Amino acid sequence: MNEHRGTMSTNTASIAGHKEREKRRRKKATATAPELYMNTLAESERHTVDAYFQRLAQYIDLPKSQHEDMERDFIKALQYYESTGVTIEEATERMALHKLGGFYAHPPLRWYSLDSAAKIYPMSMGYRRMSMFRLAVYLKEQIVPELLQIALTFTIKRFPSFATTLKRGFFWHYLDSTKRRFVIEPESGHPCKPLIIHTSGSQSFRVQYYRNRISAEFFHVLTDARGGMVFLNTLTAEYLRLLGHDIPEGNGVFDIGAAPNECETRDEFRRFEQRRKGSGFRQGRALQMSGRLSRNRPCQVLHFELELPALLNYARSKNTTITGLMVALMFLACKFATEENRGDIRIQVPVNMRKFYDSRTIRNFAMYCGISLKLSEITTLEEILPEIDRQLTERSAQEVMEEMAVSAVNIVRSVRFLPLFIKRPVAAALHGFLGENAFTNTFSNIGAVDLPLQMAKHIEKFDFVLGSGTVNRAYCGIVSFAETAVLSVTKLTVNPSFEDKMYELLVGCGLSPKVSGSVLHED
Amino acid sequence: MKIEITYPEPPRVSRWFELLRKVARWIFGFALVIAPGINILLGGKPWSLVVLWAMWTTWNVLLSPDIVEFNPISQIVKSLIHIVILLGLIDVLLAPGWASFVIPIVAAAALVAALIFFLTDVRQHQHNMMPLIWLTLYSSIAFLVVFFAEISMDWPMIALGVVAWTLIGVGIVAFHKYLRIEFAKRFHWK
Repeated sequence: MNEHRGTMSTNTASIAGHKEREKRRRKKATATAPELYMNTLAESERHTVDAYFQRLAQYIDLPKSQHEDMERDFIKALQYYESTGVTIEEATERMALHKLGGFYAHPPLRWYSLDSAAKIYPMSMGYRRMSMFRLAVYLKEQIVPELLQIALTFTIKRFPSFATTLKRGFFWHYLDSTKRRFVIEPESGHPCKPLIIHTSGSQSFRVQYYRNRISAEFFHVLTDARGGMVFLNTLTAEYLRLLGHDIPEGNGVFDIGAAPNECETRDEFRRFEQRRKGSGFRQGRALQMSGRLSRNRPCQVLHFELELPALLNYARSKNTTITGLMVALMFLACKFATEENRGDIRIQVPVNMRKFYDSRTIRNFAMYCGISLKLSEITTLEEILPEIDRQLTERSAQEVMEEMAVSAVNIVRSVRFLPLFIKRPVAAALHGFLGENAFTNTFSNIGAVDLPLQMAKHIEKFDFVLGSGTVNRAYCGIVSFAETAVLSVTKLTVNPSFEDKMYELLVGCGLSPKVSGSVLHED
Repeated sequence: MKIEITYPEPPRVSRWFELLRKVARWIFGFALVIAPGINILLGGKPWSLVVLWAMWTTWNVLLSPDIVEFNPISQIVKSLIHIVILLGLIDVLLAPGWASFVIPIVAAAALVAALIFFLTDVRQHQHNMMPLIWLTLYSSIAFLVVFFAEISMDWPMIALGVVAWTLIGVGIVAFHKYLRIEFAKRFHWK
């Protein structure tokens, strides 16, 4: 009997042990990521982290999968800090949860109508065709993706018009705010690939990293290069703060703790609504550079890195500006790159309207002017520079830009009650005629990037890449920072004539550019 | 000119869908000319209109996916509209007398399917509500037209009307705040 009882008690103990093991196994299987992470910590650290994640849960009201992904982001960041010897207390202080604000806990209620410049972009986009641009900053150290993700998580709330998804209204498209985990991704392939914007809550921008480079690519409906630069700088500043550097706000870096200001998301084109007269869109066809259009758009991106003082000195010696000089060089290169023997080469030069009006908007507020020369008039740099400078001064003057802006607003107003399904095909055709075919090339100079000194010392350079269109064989953008100016060429053709000639001309000017870029992607 | 490569190697891009679109564009373009031509030459019922609409439906629904707002609800509604028109054309042009019975069944099924998708994740699909609203409105209007025009009303139309009007009622009660914002967004003209 006792023996039997002993066997029973052994069996009971065995069953109890099995149940306990099963319970532990189940618990482990259902344990959340923070719980699993905390198991790896010492007792003293566990309390801090436990309290941190309990507080984190209060800041996030997202679907379960996104909530868990965000928790994992914070765990990865904590693990990174741990691996670099940063204490848990210091790490949780750098990633202070008040930086999340109420963004991830509040329902998405805001929406934004597109500004007058942006309205054309969704109407003219197509399968694998989207108006994109990209800004990139090169730091002096390799990027830590774990911290960049947290930086984006903290920064996005300061840019509510970026935390949106493009939607289709009855008369116009609009931006509908979305609350989600905005993700960074490693770079793959060429810059400015079209974004996937059709799914629920999809982003209209992307943040990527590669080696020491952080890139932000935007669909033009969100912003222009100026607004994009503010976003990139604010993101980079927060990233550097997470690395432990003390970076102040100001000089194009937003305070992410401050509430977004209404004037930052204002449609500045509304200021032109009351004015009657407008003009500036009538332009004929321009010559296109030769070369078969690639199926990959862009098929290559090149960066010509120039010494800014040398570039400035050369431009001054020719009594012109950097824009004037570059446009002149582009005319010479475009002439070299076309097989046509008559017609006009026309270069589109975007003009930042903020230089005429006091505006803090981070949405689109730019117009453009067209600089045009007959093929036969393009001879030497010295001969074409005065004409280019004259055209640049006249055509980018405030009155001219204002008339063009009034035109844009008038066009938008005149078709506002037409349903979108009627407007869309017409707008797509007009965009091709007025935009792509009216120009040979585009040159956008976003000028010098000004940053707080504490931030500038961590940065090597910037670059600015214009996305590709459908007809123009090349697009050029330039940005300067500290002692470096980077001219980026986005290519749509395998034909290297344009960039070869640009290089030759720049060397001829004594500027000796250092060339970097992507491989030629043609299949 | 020596280029230092500072970008990762681009991955190979699959081009089968692009190729499919290209082939389809040629075939459809060819049929656009040939089908009406043969139809006119041979005479008889205008079957080529049905062919053309079927091709347009295939192109629009399968080969030219929406670039903005591509979600299950919007695709159900888009497909339904194309199919209803196709059924209507077949009924009017080729074999009359059955569409008024079949179309309400198809529409009611689509309405229920869209509703099920909506209910699987209300929070997420609240932002994709508009196609469902459109479908409900079309269905309820169709019901009213049949009702007031005193056209003979079969059970499928009654079922469609009941589903649609119930949805309108429930929607107004449960989502009236959200609907107000949604309409302001969707119908803004500034």
